[in-house]
Amino acid sequence: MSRQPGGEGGDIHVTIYRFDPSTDAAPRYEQYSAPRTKYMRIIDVLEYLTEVKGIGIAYRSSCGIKKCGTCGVMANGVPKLACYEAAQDGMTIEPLRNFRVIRDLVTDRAPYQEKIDSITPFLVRDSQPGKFPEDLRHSQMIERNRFDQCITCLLCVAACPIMESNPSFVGPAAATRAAALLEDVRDAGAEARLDTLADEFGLWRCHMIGECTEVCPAHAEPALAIQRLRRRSVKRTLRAMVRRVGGGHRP
Amino acid sequence: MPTILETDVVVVGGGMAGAYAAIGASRQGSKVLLLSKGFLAKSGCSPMAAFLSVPPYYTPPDSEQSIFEDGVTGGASGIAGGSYIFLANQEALKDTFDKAPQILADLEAMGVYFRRDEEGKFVLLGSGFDKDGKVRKPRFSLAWNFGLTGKSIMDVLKGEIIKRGIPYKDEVRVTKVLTNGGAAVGVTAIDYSTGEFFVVRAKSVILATGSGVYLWRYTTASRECTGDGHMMALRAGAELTDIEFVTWHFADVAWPEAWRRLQMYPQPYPGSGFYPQWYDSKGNRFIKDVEIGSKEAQAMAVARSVVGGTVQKRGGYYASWRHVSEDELKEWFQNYYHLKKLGLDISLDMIECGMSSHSWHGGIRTNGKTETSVPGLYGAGGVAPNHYPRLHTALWGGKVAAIYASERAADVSLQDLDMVQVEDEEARVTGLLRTEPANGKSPTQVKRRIWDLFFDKMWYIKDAETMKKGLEELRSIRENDVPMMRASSKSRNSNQEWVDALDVIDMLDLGELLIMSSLRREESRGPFVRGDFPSTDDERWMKNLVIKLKDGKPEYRTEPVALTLMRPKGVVPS
Ligand SMILES: Cc1cc2nc3c(=O)[nH]c(=O)nc-3n(C[C@H](O)[C@H](O)[C@H](O)COP(=O)(O)OP(=O)(O)OC[C@H]3O[C@@H](n4cnc5c(N)ncnc54)[C@H](O)[C@@H]3O)c2cc1C
Ligand code: SF4
Ligand code: FES
Repeated sequence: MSRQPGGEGGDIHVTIYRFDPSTDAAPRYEQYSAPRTKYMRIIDVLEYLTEVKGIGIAYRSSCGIKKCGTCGVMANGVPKLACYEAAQDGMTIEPLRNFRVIRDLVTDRAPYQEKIDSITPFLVRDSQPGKFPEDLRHSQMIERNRFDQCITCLLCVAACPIMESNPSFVGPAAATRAAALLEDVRDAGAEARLDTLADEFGLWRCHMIGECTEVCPAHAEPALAIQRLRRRSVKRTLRAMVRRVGGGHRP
Repeated sequence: MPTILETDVVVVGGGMAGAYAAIGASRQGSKVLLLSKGFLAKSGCSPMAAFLSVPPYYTPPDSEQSIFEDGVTGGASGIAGGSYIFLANQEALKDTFDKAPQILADLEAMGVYFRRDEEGKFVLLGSGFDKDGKVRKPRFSLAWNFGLTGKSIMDVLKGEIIKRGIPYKDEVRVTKVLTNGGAAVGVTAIDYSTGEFFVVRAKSVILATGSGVYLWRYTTASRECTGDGHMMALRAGAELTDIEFVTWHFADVAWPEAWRRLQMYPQPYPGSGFYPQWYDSKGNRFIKDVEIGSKEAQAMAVARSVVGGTVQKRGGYYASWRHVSEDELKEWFQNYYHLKKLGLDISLDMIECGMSSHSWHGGIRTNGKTETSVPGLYGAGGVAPNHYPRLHTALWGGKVAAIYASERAADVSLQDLDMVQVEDEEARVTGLLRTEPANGKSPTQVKRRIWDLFFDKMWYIKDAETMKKGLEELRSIRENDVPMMRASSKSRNSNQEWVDALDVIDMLDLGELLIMSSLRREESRGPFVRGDFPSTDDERWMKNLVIKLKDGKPEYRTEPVALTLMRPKGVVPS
């Protein structure tokens, strides 16, 4: 028989960041409470407050099950998906760090989308596949699939200590998408992608502390992605040097 | 004066149908603009889908014909979960199967990876069981992991949209299809992150807004799926058909509530063909005799137990994966991680489940070219499924709509807008951005009332009495709550209550039509179940139920089903 699901009964108290830049002089923190339900997630609290209490807290969500990646918030200072993380009594809920606040928990994703756009976020083929299905084995795709688990929730970007001081750093989420494509045996886009990634402000800014992987809810391992990209970038530079030396064109 | 953008084809919706339509129209040389209420590729039902049906990859003795026939008759629960017995648009269904190989090849060329084994063959997923309990007729595939198919395909489609430089706008709620002289000439919308009301002038409008299933509190549909596209089409002069056909899940997670869209998949799962076993709260095997049955048989068995009081609509019965190894689950099943997150030990614990509304067979009435009865207006995907609202339907709809919408765009010039329509719509939309009356209700609260009303009165098994009560309650919400609806603030910054207010209007209108249609159809058929009319009545009801507005009032009529490719046994060709 199943063990009893935990944590029902009583109230749960949370503190929520409220701020509308068009009407408020400064952000404020407000306290709310909600009756606790089984396995309650942060989003269950937000839904209760907006749907039952009619409080106009702005937050995003679409799927509720860790697929759309739009519900990221800071929970007690740590980036979490509101639909995935358990609500805790006394929790403070704030908008994701490293993003501009549009209102309350809603942040502006558009500038980061531009970074994703910059890494050539699509499969580049030398030539179109001659047949369908093309020849592929599952074992060839495992590395690609690991990074393809990314749901672009941008929690890793909020956790990244480098993003703040180096706004030109491409960041872990774009790196993860890039890694999924670079690890795809069908892809021929490495050159263009590594050009963007390996520039002075790109990959080498990362301190490899691994906060990103720690907060990733999708097991996509953004820190590993960055490591892979670095390795490829080094290899590419070395190859280019060897080519240049071998060709005798270097003065 | 609002900003007016101009394009050849405007696509409304950023799910699989919308994204694929935008790519298709761009390939045809059209100038395209895509508008999405949620984020492109991150909203609608598409990112949540677990697997893709691939009819051409069957295992003998299955054949293309047998798969088509199952699609029409609802055999093996239709081609992919849910039957719509003999009401499907057969030509569209056939064409969906015919075009599937091209579409799959196209997806793969763009970068989708469909899971292979080590010999390079597709891993196919079973569609049911034979009577010995063996996995039957594998004919579905998955991108690479059960549960990540929709998301992975959407990432690729979004990449292609970026590659092609197709402009798209996230968090734009389209509010109206503009017409002139009876043809669609554009749309109005609000960009709700900034609050700007704007207009798009276009030669063709493709509605790809997904299903309208978020009328029920417990549903698998995403937050955006409030039937906006259905109502926009109807108000523009198009028709709806068979909206009473809603399929139900019984295997969605009951707790946490947020996870009501997480399915425990009662069908064989890839790789091994395992499926969950079901228990009641006393620890007895539950619905064992239909564990390997069709989805309708399973939903019905659970629903009967709800009526009998042994389980609840939401809870009291449990999925168990204890007979499947953890490694196996981890390898194939995305939901493995969800269960872990709850602190559940899969080898010990069971997962409490509930029933939820899932998808709609009916929607905007379109022909095999995705055309509505309004020139220039097309419907694609979950909003106009024609048969089964699935990923392959959305892809087919997107592909076909792109072709015909682009053809029209090449033929006609941009038409004048009827500025009175624009002004009226702006007044309506901005009128809902109000903070009065002070003692009013938030639109989100009103939405919740509608959700509860539907879950209570328009549940899987319904009868005239409950439906009439539902109708009364719905009308009372319209009369009493809507005038009292007010947002907490007039700010135009990401004012989600404003979007909710717009949704409420569409939900009430569509909800009323849904109840009225369900009252009219005096039979049970496939997923449409009436307690007071439990049998299927082919004589009276093997018909499509069509709705059209006349002077703002709905008119209902039935249309004989076009049995062009297949007839039920015993029906003599006329
Ligand atoms: C939980 C779940 C699991 C499923 N599993 C499967 C499966 O395993 N296999 C399968 O084949 N099918 C599955 N389905 C069904 C399948 O997902 C849908 O039929 C399909 O995704 C529909 O695609 P669509 O593009 O038509 O609509 P959606 O993907 O729902 O997209 C609708 C789009 O329209 C936008 N929109 C809505 N209203 C407006 C508006 N007013 N203005 C602008 N934009 C608007 C939304 O933001 C969204 O981008 C599942 C569905 C659900 C809900
Ligand atoms: S790598 Fe992980 S944390 Fe970062 S965006 Fe992707 S899923 Fe989110
Ligand atoms: S709501 Fe989609 S990931 Fe949380």
